[in-house]
Amino acid sequence: MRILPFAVLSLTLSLGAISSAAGDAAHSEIDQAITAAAGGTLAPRATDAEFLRRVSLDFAGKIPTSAEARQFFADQDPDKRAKRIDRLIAAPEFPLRLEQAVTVMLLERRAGGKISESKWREWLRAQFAASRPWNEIVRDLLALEGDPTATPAAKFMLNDEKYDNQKVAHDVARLFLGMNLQCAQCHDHPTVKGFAQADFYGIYAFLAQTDMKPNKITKVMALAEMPTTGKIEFKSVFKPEKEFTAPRVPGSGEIAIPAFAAGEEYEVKPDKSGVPGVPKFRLQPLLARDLTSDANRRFAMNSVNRFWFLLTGRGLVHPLDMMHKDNPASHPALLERLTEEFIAHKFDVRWLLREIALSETYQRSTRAPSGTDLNSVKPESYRVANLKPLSAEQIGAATMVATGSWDLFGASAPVADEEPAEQDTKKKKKAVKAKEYLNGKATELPATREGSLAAFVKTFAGQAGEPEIEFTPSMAHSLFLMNDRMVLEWLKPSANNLTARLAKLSAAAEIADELYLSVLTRTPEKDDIAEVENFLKKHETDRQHALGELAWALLASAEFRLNH
Amino acid sequence: MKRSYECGSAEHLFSRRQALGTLAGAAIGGFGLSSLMQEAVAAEMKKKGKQVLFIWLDGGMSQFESWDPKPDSEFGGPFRTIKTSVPGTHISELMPDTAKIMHKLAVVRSMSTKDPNHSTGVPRMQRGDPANRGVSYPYLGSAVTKLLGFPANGLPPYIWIKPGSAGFIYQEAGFLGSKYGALALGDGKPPIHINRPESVTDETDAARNELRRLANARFRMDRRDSEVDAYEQSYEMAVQLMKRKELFDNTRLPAKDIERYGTHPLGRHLLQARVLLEAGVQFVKVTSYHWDTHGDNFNMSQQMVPQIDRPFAAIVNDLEERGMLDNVVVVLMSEFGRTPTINSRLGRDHWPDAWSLALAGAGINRGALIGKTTKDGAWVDGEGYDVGDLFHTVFRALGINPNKKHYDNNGQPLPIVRDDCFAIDGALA
Repeated sequence: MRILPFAVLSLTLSLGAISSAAGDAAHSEIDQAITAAAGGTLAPRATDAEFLRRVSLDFAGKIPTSAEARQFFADQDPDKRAKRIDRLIAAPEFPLRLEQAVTVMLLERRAGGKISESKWREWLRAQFAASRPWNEIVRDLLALEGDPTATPAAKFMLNDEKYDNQKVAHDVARLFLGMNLQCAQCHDHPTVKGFAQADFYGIYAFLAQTDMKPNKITKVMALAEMPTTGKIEFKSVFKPEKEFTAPRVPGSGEIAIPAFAAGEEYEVKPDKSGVPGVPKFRLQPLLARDLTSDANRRFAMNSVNRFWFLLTGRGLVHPLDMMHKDNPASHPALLERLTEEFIAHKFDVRWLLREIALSETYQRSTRAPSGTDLNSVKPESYRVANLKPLSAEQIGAATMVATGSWDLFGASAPVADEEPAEQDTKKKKKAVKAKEYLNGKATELPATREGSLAAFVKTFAGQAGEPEIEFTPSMAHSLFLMNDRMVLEWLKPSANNLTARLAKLSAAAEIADELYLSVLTRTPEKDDIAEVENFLKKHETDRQHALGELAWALLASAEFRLNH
Repeated sequence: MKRSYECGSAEHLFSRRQALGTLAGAAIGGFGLSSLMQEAVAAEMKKKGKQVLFIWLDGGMSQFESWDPKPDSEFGGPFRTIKTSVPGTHISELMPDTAKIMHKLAVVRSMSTKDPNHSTGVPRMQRGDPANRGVSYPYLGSAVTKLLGFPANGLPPYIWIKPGSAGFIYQEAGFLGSKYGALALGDGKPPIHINRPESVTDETDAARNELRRLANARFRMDRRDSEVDAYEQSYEMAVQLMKRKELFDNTRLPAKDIERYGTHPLGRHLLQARVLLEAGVQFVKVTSYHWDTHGDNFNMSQQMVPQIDRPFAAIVNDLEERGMLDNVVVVLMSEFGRTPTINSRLGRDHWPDAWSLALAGAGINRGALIGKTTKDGAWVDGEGYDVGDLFHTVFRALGINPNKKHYDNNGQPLPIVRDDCFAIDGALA
């Protein structure tokens, strides 16, 4: 476990030229900023139950077991929330959760190209496990060298059937700079003054001379960079004259392109047999360097905004890719401060997430104070915590933990997220692929935790190429939870799973307690207990099924589907 | 960046606008006599929601072997033409049933589109070739779902009958959001999860859903409703769909109709489409694959064209018989036509430059033959129509003014059609 010494924090804070007192932790600054602009009564602090469920989903990607919940609720330590956060950050699930969230953010459920997704995930997980600074991770995504199929980080750029440098330019602008430059490809954005056509072409200019080509000898597809001959020409559909730009990260100056005598452009000349050459002056590494440098504040700010969104369900700048003057942050000074601190903390994602989670803002209830006009509560005020949809991965893991099937599959692989490895041919033959299971071609149920999770991910994942921002429930999700044999199987008593545990209890209050703690991570209210009691009484003759139905109803409830 | 405006050169705009103006004048002049009756009918029609049957022959049906034969030309091929129910109009002898219903159709022989590739052509055509607005535009079925709204009958608004696998094809909805996607029936069968395992009885299902609703009601306390409402709705739609499972039961199709439509997949799927339209499904797409006749075009056409001829004529007749043809817009098309030249494998390749499609039903001019091609069939003779024009036509047939309606993409207004295109002259009633 690594906790950042406060000495570092106060040192960096004293460098910041902002009014807040030196020594204040960032989470206090968050609360000051949010409280000052709340515009209404703040929701109370989340209960221990709300907090535990929320932080477990956010940091471990799953819910805690009933035993863990009981233990946490009974803990009298006034510092137990901070300790829980630190424990979660130190756990092996944390890099997995970050990898899953960042994969959804950067690859947007697209599964193309030649680089295997499992290699990408493995690599990304290792970066987070090693606490690699975020700007260095992004630098790796952009600074491509040599054979990209051997470099998992290259998947970000090569995740489509064909390498498309215009598309990569758009993705870079949108995901790393908060700039949706779709309109700016053809003309300056008509309503957004900050998004100029030159910004798009400035980024594109870094990538324009790069292409995927097969090395004719090794047959390996390689990302080859041609020598840069000059500025990029572009033309607005609204203006008659041509314009030019050299490579330029938005907000900074153009890069000077050195001139070489004909024949002198290459460090390694292209081989006539088809081996691509290496120019003396390469732009791709410069993009990686300049975009992620401390000086590029926009990059750091966009990063803060996106991680803030991950935990609070709403970007300080929202939509996330509309970071410009006419769409200011809800709390501009706070975003500035967090950006400064994120840079000062060397782009340490753990530090950032920890500070947000320690804030009262994060730990506020999603329930408004009684009598509040709910329509008056703006999500960007954060005065009531926002509801966040569970990701496909979170739903799968949470359902398995709730029903007890997580442990039925054995605890051998706590950080597995993929279907069985393809090279394992014996296993491959036996293992049911999620796709075949879901389309009915395979009748047996997925036999592993990974396979079961894959079935959930295939069902609940968002549309390829679309960011997962909003809550988009669909009939397909509901039909799956209602009628999927695997899910229903998990509701039958087996070993020590949920319904087996419930079957051993007799008093309705005890049953309700174990049920609610297991599925919803909270103790049941009076109404909840009464409902369980009535339902069991009504279905006395078929108690086993009745217990399964009670559990199903909670799994299918909005309370389970949302991180609240 | 150079942008192309093929659809809207100044000359093109002028002639089309002029023509539209003339037509509008003619329509007003001819009103008078039966206007009262028309009004009454129109009021009645308005109560019934409009529907669409969209038939997609994937790969590209040869216009030479169907709508636009050129038997005496260099590239005409071996088939003859036959007379149709519209005097003076001839089509390929491979379509004898359709020939008898020509007076119910509007056939456009002057489609001239841009994309010669399947992979880009299919989405481009089914999206109406929208200008690049930086978003993924919806396919026609999703677009119509959005524009007409979800019908009150609770049925899935957009069902796609196709060979292969079933599923929820939310990708077609594009930026509109997944709920406007297609419910796909694979080989006519619905997604597997529509089937409740036997272990769950009706009673159990009702009981567990009641518990779920109660749990949601408690969760709502002091929270905004929108998320809970959206989640509830997804379950209610699922419950509705499960109640209407008989709609997807192929064993209930009448034997006599199966014979009339043909026992091949396209015949059965079109019959199933009729059942769904009768039940009130708003948009039904039927896809048939393997029309890509690069080799052996003539034998393949001889085998395949009758597979659309017969059920197409049958469904148009059936819809009319049921009084539904005034309410359902029918579109029969591919992503492009086929080359006049015959390649070395006796095949025809991709040809977007001049090809044909057919329309029928609500708002469509019956018995219209629109446009013509040059003597050898290679080029459009006169004005060609792009798919943007087709979308204008279909939307207008549905009573939607495509120039007045916009999508709202998080506050950004987006046109529903290319604003440099127009409804196809003479296609609308």
